[in-house]
Amino acid sequence: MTHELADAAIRDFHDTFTAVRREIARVVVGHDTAVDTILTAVFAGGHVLIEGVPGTGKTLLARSLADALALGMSRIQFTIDLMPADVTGTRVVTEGSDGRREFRFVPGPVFAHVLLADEINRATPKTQSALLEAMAEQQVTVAGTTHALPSPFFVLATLNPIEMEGTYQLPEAQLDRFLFKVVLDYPSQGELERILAETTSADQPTVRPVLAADTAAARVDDLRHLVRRVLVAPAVERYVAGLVRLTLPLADGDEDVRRWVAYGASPRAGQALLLGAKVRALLDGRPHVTVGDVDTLAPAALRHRLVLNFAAQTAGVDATRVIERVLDVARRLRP
Amino acid sequence: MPGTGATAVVLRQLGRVRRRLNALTVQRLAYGIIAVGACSATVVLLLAMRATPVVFAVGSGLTVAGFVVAATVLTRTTSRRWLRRAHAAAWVDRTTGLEGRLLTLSQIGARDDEAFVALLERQTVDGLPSWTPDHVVPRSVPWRALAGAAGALTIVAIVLAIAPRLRPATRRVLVSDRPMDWIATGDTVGDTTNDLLIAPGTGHAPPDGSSVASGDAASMPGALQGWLQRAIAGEQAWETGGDSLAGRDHTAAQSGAKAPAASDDGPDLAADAAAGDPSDPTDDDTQRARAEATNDGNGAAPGAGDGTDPRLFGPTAVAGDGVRDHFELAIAARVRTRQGGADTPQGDVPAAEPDRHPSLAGGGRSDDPINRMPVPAAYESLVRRLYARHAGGPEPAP
Repeated sequence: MTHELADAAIRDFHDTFTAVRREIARVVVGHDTAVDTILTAVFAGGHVLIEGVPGTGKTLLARSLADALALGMSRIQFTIDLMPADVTGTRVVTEGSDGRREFRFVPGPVFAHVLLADEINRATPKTQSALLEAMAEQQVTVAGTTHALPSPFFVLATLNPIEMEGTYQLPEAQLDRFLFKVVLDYPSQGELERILAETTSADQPTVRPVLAADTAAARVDDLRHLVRRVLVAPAVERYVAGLVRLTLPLADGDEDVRRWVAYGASPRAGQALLLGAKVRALLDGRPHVTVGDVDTLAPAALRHRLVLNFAAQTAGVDATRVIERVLDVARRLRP
Repeated sequence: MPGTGATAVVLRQLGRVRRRLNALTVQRLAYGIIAVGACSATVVLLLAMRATPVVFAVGSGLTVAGFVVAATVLTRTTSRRWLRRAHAAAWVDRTTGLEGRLLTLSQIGARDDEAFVALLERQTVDGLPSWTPDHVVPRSVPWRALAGAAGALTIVAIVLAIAPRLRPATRRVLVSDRPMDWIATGDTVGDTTNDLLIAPGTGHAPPDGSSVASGDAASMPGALQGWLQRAIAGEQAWETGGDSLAGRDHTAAQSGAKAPAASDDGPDLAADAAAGDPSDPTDDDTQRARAEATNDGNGAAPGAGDGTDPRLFGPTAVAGDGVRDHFELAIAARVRTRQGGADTPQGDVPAAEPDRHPSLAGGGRSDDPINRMPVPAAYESLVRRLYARHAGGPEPAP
């Protein structure tokens, strides 16, 4: 591939990304940063955890994304009585044409390109863990048989920060498998007025698919492959590694981090930062990653991976503040 | 890939930018050190010219310490500003808004995607004109630093030019030929503190052939101060012997207007200043003999100086048993007054002394002037008292 083809591929990526963003924006009012982050995760090959109060458009956002990409979507409403088999699928006894009875695997809702796991914290840890293998390895194993999930596979899970009764905190291992965590805030005054106007009128905006339905999955896979070809200077890799290590409460680390953080970010955080940065680079028309790309995505990639201690909770310190501190300290690591 | 033609072009330009910036940084350091050094030198020179040895020692020490600190700070700043090869690409990226292109291009390896590398090369090469060395580092000379250094050097030059005028008045050293029971300084000898009278017989003689330095020459700062004064403002020689008139003239010339007595009552001081050789100040007879030799033995003492006229006493006649028999008193010698120096000579000024010639005839002719009168040695103390200047009081009757 010559540089002209690379330039064209980057341009195509940029056009596709912006087109999907534009289509989502037709129905999702506001949340521009959240939409960008979710799309970044989609093309980086990761999953997104969305946290927001009810009514902020979490489900609508997931549905709009699937529609814009023309990818198949399934939704699981997580409840306390949801069983793992309800997620992954199960084997049922069927009778063949020759009269013999045999077990046949019936895929669960996880077998989709886009999976909306609504209010994932309402399911038991056992059921939540059913998603672990699917999210990490893009496969599920039922009764000793491994079933590959369709590609691309993208999980969009939502969390409700209120009504905590009857909910189960997501295990850290599962949280770590989400590339980014997006927080949806209340809409602003202008956004709320626009929401009211658009959702109560007769003419409801709809999302038009950007990709052709029959080639959408392949196109998304191609774009994901393109993302991984983006150049990263070793100095930027060192910066990412240093940034991740700064979140660890090490003896030689930052004092605030040691005071507030019980467990820091895992190596998956670094992968998330670099992959997301590559997407941002392509969106900017660049074939290489900059430190600025990394910094932009640091809050989304780190906030759900930091486990704060009791001192931080009593002091009212949240993960966002710790990340700001880490980014401030990390300036000296910049190339 | 690194090393290809386009990348090589980019890296070459990057090297040129780095060298230009570092050259500017080194110039800043050099000019800064020159400016600080010149300012320090100015302070030291002024201290050397005007300050006492103690102030000079303390002030110059502080100045040197300040110079060392400033030079260290400048060097550290330069070290921080020095653009190392590993950081050059990132620095140019930040400076010119290349968004990490140079950094990535200079660090990518063989595992990277060729098409993306080619695209990056193309984008970087296209942007070459936007970060030429002249563009990134517009100035090749740090004019402000250069102006600062030039200004500081100008100040040093001005100080060097006016240094002789800044120097305190020369301290005249008046060396007496006779053992004296007192040492007169400016407090007692003259109206100024620039005079120092040293009696050879008391051991307060200046070093033989040395020069005067205002300061404590025994200490290193004092020696440095003296050296600076000599190097900048010229020598200030002791007048420690030799021709009396020459010594008088030299001393008077250096004293200038601050020593009016030297010109008004020139003979009064010059005789003291010129007489005697301090190299052997303890031997009275030797002194006397040397003075005798210098003055051809029979000159009428003009009466200059504060002490006893060195030529007041002529050659001593020594008896066979080694005891002084008598001495010759110059007839024209004046009796000293107690205040303000010698009186203005009254009457006719004695004629210039003729050269001493060997006595070819058995007896002098009647018309020969009698310059000296033999006086018994027992009267020496009385004669000395009468012919010596006193600190005050009425003039004793001769």
